[in-house]
Amino acid sequence: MTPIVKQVGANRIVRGVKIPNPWGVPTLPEDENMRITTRILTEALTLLQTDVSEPTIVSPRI
Amino acid sequence: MRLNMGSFKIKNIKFGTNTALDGATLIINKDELIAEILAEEKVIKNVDIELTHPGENCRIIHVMDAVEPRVKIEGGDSTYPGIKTPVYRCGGGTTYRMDGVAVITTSLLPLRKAGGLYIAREGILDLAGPNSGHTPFSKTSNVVVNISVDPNYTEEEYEVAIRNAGILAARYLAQALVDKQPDYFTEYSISEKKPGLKNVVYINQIESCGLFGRNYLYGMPYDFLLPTLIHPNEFLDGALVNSLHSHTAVQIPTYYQTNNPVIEGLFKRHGKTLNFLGVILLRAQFEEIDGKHRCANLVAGMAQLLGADGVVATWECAGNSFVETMFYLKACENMGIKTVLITYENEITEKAEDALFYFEPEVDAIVSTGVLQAPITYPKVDRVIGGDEFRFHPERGGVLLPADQELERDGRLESWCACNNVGLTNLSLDDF
Repeated sequence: MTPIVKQVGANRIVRGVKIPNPWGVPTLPEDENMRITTRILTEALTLLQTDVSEPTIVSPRI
Repeated sequence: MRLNMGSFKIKNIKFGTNTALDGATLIINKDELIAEILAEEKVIKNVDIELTHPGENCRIIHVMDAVEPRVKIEGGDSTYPGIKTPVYRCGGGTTYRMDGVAVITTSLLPLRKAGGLYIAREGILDLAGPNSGHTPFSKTSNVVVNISVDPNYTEEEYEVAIRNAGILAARYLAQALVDKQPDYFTEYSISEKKPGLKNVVYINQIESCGLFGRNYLYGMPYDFLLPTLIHPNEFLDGALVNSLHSHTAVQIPTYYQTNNPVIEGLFKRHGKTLNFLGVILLRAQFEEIDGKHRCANLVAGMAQLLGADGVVATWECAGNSFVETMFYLKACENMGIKTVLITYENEITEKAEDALFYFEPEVDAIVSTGVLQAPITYPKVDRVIGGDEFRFHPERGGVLLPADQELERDGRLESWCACNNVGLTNLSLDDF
């Protein structure tokens, strides 16, 4: 869904997992799921502190 | 493959002792039709049949699907193959159809979920008044099959049973056409291509993402399947059957695929102003960006391999399915294939500044089939079929309102097929 987000005008975009579950993979065991969620959140917070000059997309390692 | 379609102009329908065709009147044995449905579908507790006549002051609610009675005379055992009948490649030989009759199924299903995707929502069909132009059914004689399901079954079983009921009823009625002489014949073939004409492919995007949001190809749910290539004749014999109940305003019911105006229009022009190459069938709404690119690239790739100079595209339902649509149309344009898209629009407001929630600038030839959020008034009616009350807002537990009284809504999400993208409607707009 990043193309839509970019078109709408967001400048800092973090790529999630999937449309029904952007923050994790619910079929995985809970601790692995939480690792993915933490990684996505950390990338988001890092991006928030970063200066950007144009719409920027980061893709956390899932 | 050549299909000879014999059409019967039916002007009237009524109940009688034996299901038969009497001139331009279809007589229906009500008990036999009910028994036919109940025998095959244990999930259905009760069936009632009601008839409507063209222009009658009447409203049908809880609408599920519409199916045209068609019967296979030669070249196959049955229409709508794969639905309780063996699969074979349909679209050849001879088929008879009723011109002017529709089976319309209705059902108020038990409310088991609050909202989201996999839920059946209200569908309202007005046969007279200001909304009667939305669908062709204000001009047809309709056999309305009101279905009550047994509450002890699952929603998946309800979806299949209701789908089957419409098809079984349509097939049963069409039996009256066998051994009779049609009023007119139409021949469908794309075998002879005229050199020098432009080649056109129709991209028929359907929705199939799960419960109450399905299409069936030869009886197989199209969920998770990749794009494929189909001969347009196959649609005429009912290869594609619809069970999309979650977004009733943008549903493309079974009737709209057997009578698909884009397919009809391309057939008419085949060999005269263009060559109709075939139909690419796909479902979208893949859940990751990779899935969307995968699907869209296959669609554009197929169009290119076929040798298309241009494509006409329609899509069904709403939401992120449209991202694939834009992706494949953009890919086609970049390959030098000209594209035309037929779609409904969203209302432009302060919060939503674009008519299409996603777009690619290469896609610049678009036909609009209406605005989904346009206000609508359902006037007072004399007769309501399918129930007594509208059931709106399942996310609030179901808001019930009397179905025969005047009602103003600020969007037409519940107006059945009001914004369908194949454009089977009797309304048009002049913009000054």
